[in-house]
Amino acid sequence: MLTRTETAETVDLAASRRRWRTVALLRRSLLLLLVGGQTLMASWFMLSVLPYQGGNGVEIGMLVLFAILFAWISFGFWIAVAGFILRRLGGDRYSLLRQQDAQTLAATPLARTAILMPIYHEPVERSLGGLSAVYRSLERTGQIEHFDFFILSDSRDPDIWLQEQAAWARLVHQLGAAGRLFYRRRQVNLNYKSGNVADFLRRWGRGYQYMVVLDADSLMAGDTLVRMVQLMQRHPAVGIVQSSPELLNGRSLFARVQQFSSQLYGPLFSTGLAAVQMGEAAFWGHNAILRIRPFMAHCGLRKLPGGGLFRGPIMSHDFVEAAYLGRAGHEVWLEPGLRESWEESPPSLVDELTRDKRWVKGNMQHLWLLLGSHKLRFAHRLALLNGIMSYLASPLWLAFLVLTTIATTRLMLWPINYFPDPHQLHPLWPQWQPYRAVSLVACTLFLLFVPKFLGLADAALTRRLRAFGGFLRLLGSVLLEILISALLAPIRMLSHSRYVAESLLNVNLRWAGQNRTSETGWLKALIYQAPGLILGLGWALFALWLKPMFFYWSLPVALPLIFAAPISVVLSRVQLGLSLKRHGWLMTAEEVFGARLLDDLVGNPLKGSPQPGFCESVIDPQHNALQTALGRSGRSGLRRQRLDALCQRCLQQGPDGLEQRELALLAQDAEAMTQLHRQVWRAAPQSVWGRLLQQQIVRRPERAPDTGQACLPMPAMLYDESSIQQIKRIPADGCLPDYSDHPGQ
Amino acid sequence: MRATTAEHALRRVLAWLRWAGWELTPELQQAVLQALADSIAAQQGDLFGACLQALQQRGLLQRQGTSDTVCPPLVPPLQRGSIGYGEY
Repeated sequence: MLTRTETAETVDLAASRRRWRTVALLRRSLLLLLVGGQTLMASWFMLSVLPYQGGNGVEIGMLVLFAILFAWISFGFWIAVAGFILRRLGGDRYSLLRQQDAQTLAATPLARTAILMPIYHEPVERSLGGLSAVYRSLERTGQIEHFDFFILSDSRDPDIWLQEQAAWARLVHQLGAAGRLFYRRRQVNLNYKSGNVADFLRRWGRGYQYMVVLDADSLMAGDTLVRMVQLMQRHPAVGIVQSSPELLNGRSLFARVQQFSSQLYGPLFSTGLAAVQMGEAAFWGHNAILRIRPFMAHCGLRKLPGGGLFRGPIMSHDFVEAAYLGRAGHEVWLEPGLRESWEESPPSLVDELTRDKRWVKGNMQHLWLLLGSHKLRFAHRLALLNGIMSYLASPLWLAFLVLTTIATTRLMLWPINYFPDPHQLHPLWPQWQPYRAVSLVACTLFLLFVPKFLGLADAALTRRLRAFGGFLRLLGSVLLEILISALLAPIRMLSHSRYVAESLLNVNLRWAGQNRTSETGWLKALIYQAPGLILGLGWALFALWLKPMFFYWSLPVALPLIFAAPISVVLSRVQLGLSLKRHGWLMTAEEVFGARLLDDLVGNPLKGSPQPGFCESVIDPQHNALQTALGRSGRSGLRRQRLDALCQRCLQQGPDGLEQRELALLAQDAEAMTQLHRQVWRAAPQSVWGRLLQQQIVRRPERAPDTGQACLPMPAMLYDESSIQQIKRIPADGCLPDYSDHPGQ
Repeated sequence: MRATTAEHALRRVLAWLRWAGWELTPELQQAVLQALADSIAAQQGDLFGACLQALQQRGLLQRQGTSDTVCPPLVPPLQRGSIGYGEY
């Protein structure tokens, strides 16, 4: 039986839901009207531009593709306009943050929250360094006792996960985070990142009310995290609150352009999108808070049962999880008012495209869910369609260009058909109206570029010009960004088209960690962009041969394709990015005014600390003591014999004589690591390990390494073999039995 | 010129002690040399191991952690739950 207060709250919740759904319906109808009306007008105009006014199959195909692509651009345009208007009005009054005053929100008590960072072969210093910055920031809020941190590793290379474990131990020591910062590595990597999070939920989900999922390059301020928890506390119907992360910390020119556009135009688009989606927004996979209980109850992702691409685990999980939560009656909100939520851009075009290859396949899989899932809310189906169209737009654009080329070729080379319809009385004269074509292109460019100038106007009206280096530099930066976007668009179009085709043909995909650091070399760029170069050059030459005017029309697409390799190399250059930064171009607020979180990231405890791989973990007494303490022990029988044999092989042949999988088996076994450490230090100087040891002794500095592992058991050399079982260490099930001071208990 | 066994052993013992976190005080260095000399005199095959054992027996390696030192907890206690798999 519900109490009176509970009944009142339920009624209140229902009324609130009715209210925002009514507003959402009105807003979406208006958007549909604007996009639909604009697309109809543009398509009619396009019809008049076509020589036969849609009188043959090629022109009908062109018209259909044009309408789809124009609607897509128009949607983006109106979202930005809506965001601009709402920001002029002081924000969306129906947003989650505006549904209570700041004092009420600040007074809301917190609840147990887990902060998760799933990682897979990520740069250790950056990813865990970022987590330490988040930890420090939360500490400053005075609310750290409500939060636990989990590093969820899927790394398989022992050189990397040994580094992760050493970094974790160092962070625990430096932050004083014992019992609050945890590390879990899955032995079996099922279902990518969503499987990693599900593994956490199965083991520890019941201990927490909320989880915040971070990416390896995420940064979130403590105040933002606290506010997110308070929002969840105040809105029990909400299943996910997604912040709108901005890009930062870019060094290469490519990354700096991306972060500039994300910071200048991002607020407009996110405000507009949030206003249309309201409580039926999408989950972007990170920098969001999730209510654990409904998530566990409804968001298990079954493997797809279809064929080809549509068979197996769901690769892009986030949109699907939001849709499942929505189906279960929970709300998902995008909240652009949550500031200080950041991530990083890939450093180069090649890295972005490598990442997109995964995302394309994941989003194409959503076709199956879009068409086949039961009872999903219409708005969430549209969100799936939005994700699909983000990539499907590329092959549609390519198809449009192909049809344009065919139409022009027919017009130039084939005899003109004045009577396409055998029953017509009067001849049909093909008409080419260049002024109308130019007008249509101008209209399209208007839709593409006006949001960028709205971003500039928004910065001026909100007195943020100084945050972007002042008006003139901001204007220059916008023009530079427009130029670079225009150069990148055809390159992205061609790559995405290829990825879409590969996805639909179900070409195998290698799941790999993201590169977040290096520049692109010339050879790599040439190999990567060779198809674009050949296609662009071939098309331009064909156009030149066909008709000079068509050649000029082809240049905006053909030139970036021809010069894709140098564009890719130049954009990846860090020196160029930093040089522009020194001159105040492509600036962002954090760079101008500074940010505490960034300072913490720069000075994180892992900066410059040793990153021990397998060899160092065998040789170094302190690292070996840590890995021995964290390793499994007590293995017997056949498994022990196999490990002992591997150990002997490793001692004889050195680490290079074993496969990565075999090294991993040794690295996670306490006895094996102890044995290796003892034997290696006694190895003959001419043996493999003797030489490795000698190299380390010569290379290492005189100073004792500060590994930050002050509370470790003593090094393996100093106790006899029988005592290894007595050392208190993590037992085989991965849990400490003696753990009474944990606040969660 | 090739290093002798004793040179190798001395280099390794000093490196190991340094990396394990011991400060190489003059007393410790002297004790290392003494232990090495004793091990050579006793015709020990494993000079490195014998040297460390001698140092330990003389109580010179007691500074750092003992066998009951606890490593920071890797993970909290399990609180198992299950994931719900609905229809597609």
